[in-house]
Amino acid sequence: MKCFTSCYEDWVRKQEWDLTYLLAAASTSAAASAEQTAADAELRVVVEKSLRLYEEYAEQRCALAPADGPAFFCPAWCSAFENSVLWMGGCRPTLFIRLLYSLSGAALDARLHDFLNNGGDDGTDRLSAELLRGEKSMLGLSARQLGLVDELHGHTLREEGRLTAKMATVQEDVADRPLLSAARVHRKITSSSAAAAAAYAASSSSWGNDGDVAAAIKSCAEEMAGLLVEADRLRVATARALLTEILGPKQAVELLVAAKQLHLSIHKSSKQRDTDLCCGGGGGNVDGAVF
Amino acid sequence: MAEICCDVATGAEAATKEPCEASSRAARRRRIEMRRFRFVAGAEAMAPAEESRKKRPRAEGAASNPEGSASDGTVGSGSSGDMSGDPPRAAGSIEEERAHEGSRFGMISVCGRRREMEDAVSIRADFVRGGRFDFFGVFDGHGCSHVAMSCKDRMHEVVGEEIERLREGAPSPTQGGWREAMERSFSRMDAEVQGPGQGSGSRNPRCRCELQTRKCDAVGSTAVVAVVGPTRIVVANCGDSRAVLCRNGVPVPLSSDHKPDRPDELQRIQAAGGRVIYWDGARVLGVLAMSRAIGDSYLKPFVTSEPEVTVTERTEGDDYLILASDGLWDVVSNEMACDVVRTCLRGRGGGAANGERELGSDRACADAALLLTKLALARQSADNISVLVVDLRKRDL
Repeated sequence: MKCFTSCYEDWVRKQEWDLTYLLAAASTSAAASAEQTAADAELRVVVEKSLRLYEEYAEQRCALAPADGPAFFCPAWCSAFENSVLWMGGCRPTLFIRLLYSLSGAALDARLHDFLNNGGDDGTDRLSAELLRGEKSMLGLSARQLGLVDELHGHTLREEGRLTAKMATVQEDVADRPLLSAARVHRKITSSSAAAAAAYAASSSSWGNDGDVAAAIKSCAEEMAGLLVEADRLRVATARALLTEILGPKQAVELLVAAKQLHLSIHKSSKQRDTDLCCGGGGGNVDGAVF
Repeated sequence: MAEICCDVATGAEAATKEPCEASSRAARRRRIEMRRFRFVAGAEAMAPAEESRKKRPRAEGAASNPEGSASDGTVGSGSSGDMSGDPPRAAGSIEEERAHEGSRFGMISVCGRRREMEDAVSIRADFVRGGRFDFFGVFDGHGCSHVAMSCKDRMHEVVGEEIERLREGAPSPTQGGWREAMERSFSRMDAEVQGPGQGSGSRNPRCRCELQTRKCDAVGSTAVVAVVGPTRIVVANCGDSRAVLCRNGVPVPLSSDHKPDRPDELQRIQAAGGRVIYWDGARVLGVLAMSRAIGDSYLKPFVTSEPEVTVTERTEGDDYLILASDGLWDVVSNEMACDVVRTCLRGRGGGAANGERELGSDRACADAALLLTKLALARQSADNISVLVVDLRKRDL
């Protein structure tokens, strides 16, 4: 468990460094507007580096998964809130697309107001370039990009659905062979409930053969480990397609910065929430009662 | 789910132009031939799109387009040509070079914030034998996507047959004639989606119905169809998608949404013995949030496929037509939509390279559709979003 936790904590630290690095790169690039292509090339390197970190993290998880697949599905190193929004041990791959839509919409209404009220054609042209063909920011997502995002969205939704269905099967298999037969192996059906209770109390082995149950759980856990690896692959592939094939370098940095800020602040805040609920003002106050 | 675009209007002057390519006739023909298969709206580079397509397996086979006249994808633009004779739909013919009086358009259809894509858009230029009519349709499915997909695949054929029949009787049909033709078309389309042997569900990977047959009776689609002819625009609508004409700068709705709480619709439903129950909004029998649709046999006769038809004589003041699903109209008013399109079209297409105005116009339509879609996304539209913009202004070549 320790190496699992440290793998995640290491990732959070890397996210923090990477965020600082990305923000610095973005502001340098904004300053160096003269050498646009050079600045873009630099940003591409930064994006690639960031993606490599993500891929390395996925590789580490892939290496750890066979030891304990289920640990990734309700990780002790995450907060209760984080775990409740988890899909297959991580974020939903379609979350990247939702985030992109949110970012592309931010400030659009205000800019559109300028666009509509700008009488001068020069201004209109500049604004239309900014709103429709600007690869400089998410706001300027182009028709080609939107088409590609939608295509990727469809593909990712189908893959998510496929993996979700597989996970459902694994979860339902719990009530079937081999786990069920192992669990019931020594269980005697008795007519008297008192006798049953006595049997329960007498020995835990009357619930089943521990060795067989453990073996059945192990095989379930292995399937989950396989699913985790597949899900991580989908997450990485979706991020890579968006960041390198569809978005321009500035847009990619914008998306990465937002994704990291979102992850880090949710992690920090919800961890704090857990601490507060656990030992802090719990019990008496209204919030404590609600949760 | 998504094709980037496959836009080939029949005899079409197409939307874009690779900026670096010489505008020779041969080059253009080559481009048009390419477009028979795939096409990307806007003058942006093709390469990344092609590349990413290769990397991902494709599920939906909209790649080749046998009729060469559909716009089959998420993003598209183009224009329909003036093909005076029979329409042998050979894209890339010399006809491309001629002046056109047909419609120019741009469209976008995206899944947006929903997890299922149930919208479908159909663009069929010059779709009636011996007449100059362009077909535009937006279909917003519910329950599953297969009724909307059937409408996309078939509605123009059904409407085309009915128009041909209508014109056999009277070369210049009356408004009543148009109305009947559209009503017959919708009724036939409705029968088709409910009839047996329609099981082409396997062609549609979006179909979630388990057995992929058309027997699911809880599936339907809105349909707003515009037939744009040289003198008239005929709009037939059932459901809550909408067509809006911008005339002299003012939005003129050419359809009226069929919501169960629209007083006349409420009365019709109650007269038929149905009820409208408020359950997350007004719903027929507490189920469907629109009062007319193609399909939905389990809600018949309360939900009917009979369209409301408007026949509008075209005037000099007609600027453009917007067809969209409720993913747009739920968050953007008719006025706002018209403002956005007008601003995009203002001074266009003077923006295109080589002064080819029609190219600029198509691009402007695509821009307008894009901007409206992005606005709907920005305003938190939770539905699929399909927007189709048709430029109706006279072309001054």
